[in-house]
Amino acid sequence: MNKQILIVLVVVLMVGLVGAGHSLYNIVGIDVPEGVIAGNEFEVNFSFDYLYDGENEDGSPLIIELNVTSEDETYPVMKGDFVISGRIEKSWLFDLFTIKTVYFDCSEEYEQTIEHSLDTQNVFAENGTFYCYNEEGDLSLNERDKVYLDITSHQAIYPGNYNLTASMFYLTDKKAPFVNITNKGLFEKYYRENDNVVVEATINDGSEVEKVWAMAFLGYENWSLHEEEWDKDYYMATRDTSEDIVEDDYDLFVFAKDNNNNTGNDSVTLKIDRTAPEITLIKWEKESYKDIIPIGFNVTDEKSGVDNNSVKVRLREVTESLGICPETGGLINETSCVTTPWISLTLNVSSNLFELDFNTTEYGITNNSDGSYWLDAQASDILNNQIFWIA
Amino acid sequence: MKKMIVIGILGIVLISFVSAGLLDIFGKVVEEVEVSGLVFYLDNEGIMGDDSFNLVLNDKSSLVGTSFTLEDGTNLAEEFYSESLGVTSFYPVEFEIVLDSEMIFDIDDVCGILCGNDLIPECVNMSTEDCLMACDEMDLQDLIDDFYLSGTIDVSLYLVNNMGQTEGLICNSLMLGVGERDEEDGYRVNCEDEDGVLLEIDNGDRLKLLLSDGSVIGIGTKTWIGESLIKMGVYDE
Repeated sequence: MNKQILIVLVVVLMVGLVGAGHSLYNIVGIDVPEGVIAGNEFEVNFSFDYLYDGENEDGSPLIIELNVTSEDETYPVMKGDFVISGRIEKSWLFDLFTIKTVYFDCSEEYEQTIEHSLDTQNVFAENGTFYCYNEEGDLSLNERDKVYLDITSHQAIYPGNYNLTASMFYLTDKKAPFVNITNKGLFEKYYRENDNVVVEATINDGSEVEKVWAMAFLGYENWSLHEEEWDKDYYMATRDTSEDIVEDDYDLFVFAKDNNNNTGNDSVTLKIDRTAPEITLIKWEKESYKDIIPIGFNVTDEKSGVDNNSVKVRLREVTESLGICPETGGLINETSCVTTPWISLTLNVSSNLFELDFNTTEYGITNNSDGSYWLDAQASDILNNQIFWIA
Repeated sequence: MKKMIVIGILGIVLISFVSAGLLDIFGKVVEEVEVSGLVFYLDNEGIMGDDSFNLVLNDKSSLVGTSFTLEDGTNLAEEFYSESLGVTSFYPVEFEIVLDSEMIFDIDDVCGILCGNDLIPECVNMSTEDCLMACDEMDLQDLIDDFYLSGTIDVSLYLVNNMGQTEGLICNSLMLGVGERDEEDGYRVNCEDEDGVLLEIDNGDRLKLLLSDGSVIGIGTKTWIGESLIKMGVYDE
């Protein structure tokens, strides 16, 4: 006899396991009381044969949708006709012990935003429809949990029969990770070749973020940055620009992908400036000799801007004989030259010119044999893109 | 061994049925609930600060008092008020008033009426005094049966404002033939809001029930608290 009982138990257990594998969630019954009077609270209860099988990942929000409809179509259920709240009782050992109670609210607001750990879900509740969930958005339903709904009808509700439909669904994560580049201020400036680019970002998502990467699309190549740090919600990547990077504006992205294949990103513009300032001579009295020679340059740089301290000039003069004083300094064909050092110009804010009253005496410039000078200038932008200008 | 196999198969079949039952409905279930209209229970405690009584909404567990009488000469009428209903509109309403009542009467007064109007055949040619004596000696139930004695209650329902001032008469009806107490069914009368007074109800308005004695002299009614109530239902126009 003992053997027989054992066989039955083994069979029961086997079939039980098979049954468990089949179902994700089922509502297996609903008890509604009789003698419900308008204005009074009544309680209905049902249970879910919810079995965790991996499709519904742990912590994903399970939400109960209730529909209350009137059998009399001339008196449909309107907002405010019912107020519903409820609780879930988790029990153990054939319902002998209640081990946990999870309370939840039911809302019939037309537009609802269900915020939960994985996502934010917008739902629309038509008249008579309620969505029930708790603040965490997770009712933590489990096998044979009992769901109790406390329902109160409005005092003036139309007396009659109402159908109560309870459905259950869970929400999947459709929301991309939130990526926020935190050092965008750095990208207001321009970069040039061999510059170090650092991007920092925060990454937030209800699910697990499984991959984060940073990349700029240069057109001729996808330029990936190297991850330096990724600790929970902080990410940092860096890379030096290449020697041959082409001047342009590029989108630099930080991407994050969660384990539900949702990908979010944030981006900045990586601006490359390889152009030196433009120099235009405005003020210069050629072939004249004075103690003071006024010099004025218009120096502009569209992108990164002129480094005001970089605008300088020098003069070259042949002191004996005729010939040329080379820009590299020194002599050509026994010509004797004077080459001044580089002298800084000052930005005149009113004229917007870089100016200098050149004191010829101070730098040894004399009224030479033919009264001719060479004027050289140099300027850089703030990235040190440099130009040499020769008169 | 065969026995064990059979038992095992039976076990499989049994459990399969159970599992199939669980899987029939996938994630959804529908059930019907019948919602009845409001119920007001007559009570012997006042809420208006005067001699009137209370109409207790939906809950008879806390009713106060046992009974009240309506009879000529002592107490002609009783008023009952509900709390403010907090409602701004109703469906077309029909009321069912159920009173757990019985007739009461004063035998001397009844015999006086019967003898004074020569209504007792046995008393023909008797003097009034002799008739009264004969009437007194008659069986009470015979008197009731022979002369169709019964009580009458005049039932009126009003919509009143929060202070108790009348907004409108909802309906009026006579509850005739109140005789012996019928604890199971009571006495019933229907009363319809034909003019749609309740369609115009305001948030603070109350319901007022006025019960008046409508019986002939000497006859009255006694009504018990507990099962005496007003039920609201749909008035099928």
